[in-house]
Amino acid sequence: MENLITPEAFFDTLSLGHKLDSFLDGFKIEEIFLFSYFSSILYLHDGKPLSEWPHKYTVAKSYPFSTQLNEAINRHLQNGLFENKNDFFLISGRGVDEFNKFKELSSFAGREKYLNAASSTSILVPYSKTLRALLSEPEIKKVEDLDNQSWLLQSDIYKKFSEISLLVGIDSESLIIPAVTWIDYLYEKGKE
Amino acid sequence: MTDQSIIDKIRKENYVYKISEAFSHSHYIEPLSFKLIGFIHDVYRYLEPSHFKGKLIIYATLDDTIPLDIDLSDKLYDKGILINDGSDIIVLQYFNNESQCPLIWKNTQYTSLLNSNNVILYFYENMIECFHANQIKIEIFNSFLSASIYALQYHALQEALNRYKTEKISCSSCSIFDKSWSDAKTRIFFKNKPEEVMQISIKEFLSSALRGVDVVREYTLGASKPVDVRVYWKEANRAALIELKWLGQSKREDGELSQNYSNHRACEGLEQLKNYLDLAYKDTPTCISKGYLLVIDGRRKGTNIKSLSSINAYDGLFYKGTELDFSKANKYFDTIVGFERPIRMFAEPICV
Repeated sequence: MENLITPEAFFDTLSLGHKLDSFLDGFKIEEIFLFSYFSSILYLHDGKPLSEWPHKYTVAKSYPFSTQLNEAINRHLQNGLFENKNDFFLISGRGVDEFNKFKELSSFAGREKYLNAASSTSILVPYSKTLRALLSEPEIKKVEDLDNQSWLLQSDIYKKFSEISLLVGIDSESLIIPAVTWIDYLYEKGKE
Repeated sequence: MTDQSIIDKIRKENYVYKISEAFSHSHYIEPLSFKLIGFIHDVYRYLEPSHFKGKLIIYATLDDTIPLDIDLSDKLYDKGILINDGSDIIVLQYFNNESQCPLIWKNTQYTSLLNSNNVILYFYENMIECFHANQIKIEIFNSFLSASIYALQYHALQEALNRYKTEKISCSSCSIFDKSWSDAKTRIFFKNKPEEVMQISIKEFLSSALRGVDVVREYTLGASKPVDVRVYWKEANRAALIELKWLGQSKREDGELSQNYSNHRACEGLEQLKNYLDLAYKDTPTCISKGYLLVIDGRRKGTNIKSLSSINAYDGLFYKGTELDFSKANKYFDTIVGFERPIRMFAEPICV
């Protein structure tokens, strides 16, 4: 029997695949996990409870990893919504059509705010900087160093995230500016 | 660096934040500036800033009004017209209402836009870029090897080539490249005619390192001899022509020495690449091209003895720090736009 794909995993992977493909001309599977994890931090920063975020993450090969998201990505590949090209993946025309249909559904529309803010950083900040910054995030590093299947815990990171936003003086309701600020912070911190 | 000094740096350099701040963090600024930056990315799919010698201004007004003389503008349906545009000044207006087609002015007066409190404006000239938001100038800090942080295709290639040099060639860690040696256990002599193996190695590496590219080996440009590797960005109308030259001593399968290439071979590569670039501009004028000479340097001291089966560190690494020497007439990379500085990759032997 095939594994059941959660609706949020189905939608989030499709949405992130669409955005990363559009911004970067292709994506790696692990980048979908990374930006989904980053979206979860933004979700917390926006005052939402972690218990309502539908995915949990471990760390594999320095990137966040989620079994639910992985199942959904495999399904997109099977169904031709994602395509493989060299070492990268693209969203197909059918994948874009599916995304455009699903994003109108009220149950998914609210998720777009977080997925969009997280992936927007890749267009506002040079991508190699974004990538280096997000992968140097302390919680990911900590779990990676433990070298076991511990869950990534967003609660400490989100507190730091919110603290940095406050210190910089961000007083807008925006998520994109705090997201870019967080990238800047991690990048500078990672140079140490 | 303390958190406070990082915060200070972010306050100074985070242009997204500063644009928002310039408009008192009004809620409509963030989506507008994000869409404008997306449009700048799109423009740079057609216009390579490092090749553009004029001023580029891309702006939006908060209410989509048109402050410049509309009668002097054209609708920008096809961004392809920006390729190889030699105008001194290009001004583009983007509209928040995306059903409106962007407008283009050429060689028009734009300075009034800088004094408007209704405008968010991006400015590029000669490798410097900034925003003007509500009359405040906001610098964009660019620590990358690129003219703009919104056009990073060639920067990505340069980074990939640097990685190829250190991660794959220096110690022959690429399993394909490793086959270019006559004896991979010593790496003193190249095998006879190692070019094909080297081309495959770089092709495979770049195919997996770069996004959105087609990498083709032996790409014909109307020349009798094709360029070794061509990288083509499908979504960005850019190409890189890569000519590969190797230096060192090669050896045939029967143990006899064959070609011995030194500095002069790299000079020949420059000449060849110049011809390829000229042909590329002629054959595909609507595609932006840059030329790269990669020199895989396998030179060792004292390799005129065919029976040489081991090498000490002094002889083996003799040329490691020896940069290539080009005559002034050969230095096209100093004079021709798009002709990049040659990249030498020293491939180390296994020394005893």
